[in-house]
Formats: sequence, structure tokens, C-alpha cells
Amino acid sequence: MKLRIELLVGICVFGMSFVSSERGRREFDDVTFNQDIAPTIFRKCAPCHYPGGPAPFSLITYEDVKKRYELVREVALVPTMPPTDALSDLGRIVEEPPLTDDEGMLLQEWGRRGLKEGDPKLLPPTPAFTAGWRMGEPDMVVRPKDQGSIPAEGPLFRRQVVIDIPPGENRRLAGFDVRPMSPGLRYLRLAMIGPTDNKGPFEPTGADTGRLIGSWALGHFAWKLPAGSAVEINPGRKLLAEVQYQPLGKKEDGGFEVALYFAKVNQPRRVQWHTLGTKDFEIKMRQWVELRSEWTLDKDIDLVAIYPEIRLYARQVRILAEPPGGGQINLLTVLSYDRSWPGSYVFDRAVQLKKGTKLVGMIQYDNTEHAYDSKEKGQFPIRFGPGNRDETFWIHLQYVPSNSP
Amino acid sequence: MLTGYLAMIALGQSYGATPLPSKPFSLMGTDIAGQTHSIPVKGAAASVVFFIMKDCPIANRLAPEIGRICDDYGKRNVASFIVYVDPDAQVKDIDRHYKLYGYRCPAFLDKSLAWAKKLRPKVSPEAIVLDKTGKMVYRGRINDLFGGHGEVREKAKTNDLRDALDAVLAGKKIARPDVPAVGCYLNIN
Repeated sequence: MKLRIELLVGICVFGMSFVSSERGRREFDDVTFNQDIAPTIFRKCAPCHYPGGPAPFSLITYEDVKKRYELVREVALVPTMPPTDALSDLGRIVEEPPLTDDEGMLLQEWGRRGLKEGDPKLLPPTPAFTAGWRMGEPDMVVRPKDQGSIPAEGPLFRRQVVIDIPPGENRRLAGFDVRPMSPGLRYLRLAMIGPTDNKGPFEPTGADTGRLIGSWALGHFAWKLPAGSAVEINPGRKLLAEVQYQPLGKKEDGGFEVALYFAKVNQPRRVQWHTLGTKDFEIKMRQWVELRSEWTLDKDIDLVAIYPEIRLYARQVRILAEPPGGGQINLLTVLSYDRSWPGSYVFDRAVQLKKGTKLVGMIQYDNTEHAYDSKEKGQFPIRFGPGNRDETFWIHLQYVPSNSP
Repeated sequence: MLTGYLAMIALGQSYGATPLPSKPFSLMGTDIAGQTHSIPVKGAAASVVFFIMKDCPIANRLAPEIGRICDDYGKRNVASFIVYVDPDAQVKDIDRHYKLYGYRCPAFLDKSLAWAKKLRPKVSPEAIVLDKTGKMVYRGRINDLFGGHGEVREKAKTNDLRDALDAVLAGKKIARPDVPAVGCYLNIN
């Protein structure tokens, strides 16, 4: 009898742990698409997975998701989707991060409980996708003359294309966005070049931040500067885009449009850069190593964006902020860096950091025999350099000094 | 961590547990061009059936290699077929996809899932090789370009399907007749 009572109590306690979930008094086995799954799917998947969107299929109806449940569950839980693995404690750094553990568990439970559709009255409004630009009507839209194409197959590759800007007066760029012709265009960095430049701004060993403007990636915010700041584009200058493409199985149009937004401000705050990192490192054979670099702020800044510059072996990126008063804040964490979906870590709103804050940048590199995409797993040391067996350890921080001219 | 644990479950590589069926298969169907085909193919040394879904990004990325295998082994007396496991699609959608991706071997829209239910692929893309009697001798991936969801190599290192076909054509035993494929799950129940 005693054993049976204990067993019964144990079962009740175990059962209650499911009932008293963060969803309040609802029974946990009442998981339906309309109430529990649609909100997450609409927010985190539908921005790309809508009819005519950049993703290969739509996920905006119950039938869409039910039909592909196993795939959705797998890619959401790994997670490889959405391809926006980046978190920050100091503001939004991606439009929507991957599913939280709670959202993942609900997705699992929905499957276990028969993929029910549920009460139609509880379905949130289906997202509507407008054709316009995210930041509204741009001041100018430019395109490269040579649009180029993406071959049907092959590894990720990068291409640099020049974009002419119509002649005119000095322009003060405060934001830009990109509209690719193909979802095979995964990432883009924009820089300025002038007629007297004898070297490009993008080198395999690192970008020239003196000419770098910003970046774009699917699922990430458009690049924009805080009010009152701008990048000067002098007459005669052109834009240079370094574009990363992913072949998708058939030839695709590699073209794109860039929407430019100009600031109407007389003395804009100037964008500045600080680069964490070093050339002086060696990642020994068969090792998983974390490299680290620090910078203590000598003034208050508005941090606009973070640009890790890494090659084949990086796996995790973290930047912490240690304020003068103590503590540690996560500025950016990319738990599992995916080269096929490079992130454009632009804050939705620039983050204010005080003088005396220490910024610590850390990148983990995998030179072990388990590195799945390494040709010669862990068989040679990795050092700084431009070659296929080399790496870079740079984290470019783009900021505007707070309240300065 | 929860997601890591779930990932281990989710990367369901449950092959190897079920041996390949020993009974030969006999299949017949009309392709999207209106031609009728049957397996075993009379006079062919073997047949390959590629199961795909038209909106599966993994199958689409492997489309060029699927096309090449159709061509390369077609010259060596292997009949290849592409089966679209897209019961909700129309023939015109499949035809459009077929042309977009440059496929050349016969393709079927398996609307009733007849072929899928017989040969039981698990994911798109997956290749099934049947010998000249219709007996299944290989099941699984085309190559190891995809190590898992989110794990893609620059170039495939092992070409499992080609190795299997070469073995069949040489009259040798296939070293790995059952190799887990990574792809989009097929719902054929």
C-alpha cells in the first residue's frame, strides 16, 4: 500500500509539472496549430516562407506546416532555421531568432498530440507581405551594371561588383537595404571606392574599415545609423559590393538592388570603427580553441553593428560588455556559426555603451578531426593568412561617438 | 542542452535497422510526358529511382548530380527515373520544375504514392537501385554533400550511389547497400 501511494503521488507530481506550465491553467495536451504553433510560425518562419517569397515553400497555413512537420521540427530544433542564430541582451540584433526551448517543446508536443488544427477563432491574422522596402521609400535605388548569375552548383562563393552612383553633390548615407533577385544571394557587404584607390577594400585577410559601410543578410535588419550620423559619399565615389552566393541547383540571377537612404543633416556624427582581434595566433592541430581580444571604451558610444570576419574554421562568436560598475552583458552570441548563412549583426537600434565599458570579443575555432567541412581534418595548424588553410580573427565594431560632431 | 538533445533525436538516421527487402519489385507508371515505363526494365542492367519533392532545397541542390548520374549511367545500360512525391501538385507544376532543373530522364508524379509506398523512401532526395530482376540492392543517399541539416560540405567526398551502381555493373557486392540520406521527410503513410 505504501509503495502504491508513493507511486501515485509521484505520478501526480509528474503530471502537474506539465499542467502548471508557463501557459497558465491550460492543459498541456491541448496543443493546436491555431493557438500554439501559428504565432511562432507566423513570426519566425513566414517572413521568408510565404507564396512568392525567398524560401522554396510556404508555411502560412495549417496544411503547409502539417505537410512538412517532420522537416520543420528538425530544422527548428537543431536549429538551422530561421538562419538568424544570434542573441543579444542589449537590443534586437536579428528580426527573429531561432525558436526558444519553450517554442521547440510546443512544436514537439503538437506532433505527439496528433497535429491538431484547433479552433479557427484562435488563429492569429495571417501575415501580409508588402512589396515595398522595409524602411520605406528610399532616396535612391542603385543596381550593379553587371548583374551576373549564380551557377547551378558548387560551394559558397563571393563576388565583388561595382555599383555606380549617379553624379551629384556630396551625399550623406544613413541607411541601406538590399533586394536580391535570388535567394541564392545570402550576404552582402558594401564599401566605398574612389578613382584613386589602388587596392580593394575587401581582402582575404580583412576588410578596410576606412571604406566599409555596412552589411546585409536575409532575416537581419537593414543597416542604418543613429539619427544625426551619416557616412559621407563624395562625388566621384562608387559603391563596391562583396556578395556571397549559395548555388541552389539551377542557374539563378545574381542581381540585386540597393536602396539608399540619405540624411539631411549639416554636420553629421561620423561613423568610427574599432577592430578586435590579431594576426598573431596559431590554432594547433586537433584543437578547439577560443581566441580573445578586448577594448575598453575611452568615450560613450552608440554601437551600430558588429562584423566578425572569419573564414572556414570559426564555430562560435561572442562579444561581452563589462560595464564600469561591474557585471557582464551579452552583446552578441552566435552559438553555432553557419558559413552558408553569414549574419549581418546590425542592431535594430544602436546600443549605448558608456566610457569605461570593456568589450571582450571571443571566437571559437574548430581544428579537430571532427570539423565536417575541413578537407584535412585537424592535420595542420591554422594561422592568419589569405589561403584556404588560413584563418582570420577580426571583429569590427562600428559605432558613432555619442553626442559628438 | 535541450536543443542539442533534441537535435540528436531529430537527425533520425534510422537506416540499417531494416534489411533491404528480398522480394523483387515490379512497378509500372506513366511519366509526365505520357510515356509508360515498367521496372524491371527489359534489357537494362539495373534501374535507379530518385525520389524527390519539388520544393525540397536539398533535392534541388543535388539536381545537377542527379542529372549527371542519369546521363552517365544511361550510357552504361542503367535506366533512371525521377519520382516526384508531391501528391498535391499538378503535372504542369512538375513539368515546370523538371525543365527548370534540367532533368533529362523520365519523371513521374506519384500522386497516389504507389511507387513511394512500394519502395518506401524516407526522405527527398533518396535513391533506390534495383537490379535487373527488380530486387532492391541499394537504398539511401546520393553522396555525402549533406552531413546533416545545416552541415554542407564544399564538395562531396563519397559518392555512395555511384559506388553502388559501379558495383552492380561489375557484378560485385555493394559495400554499403543502405546509407542514410539527409533530406526533407516524405509523408507517405
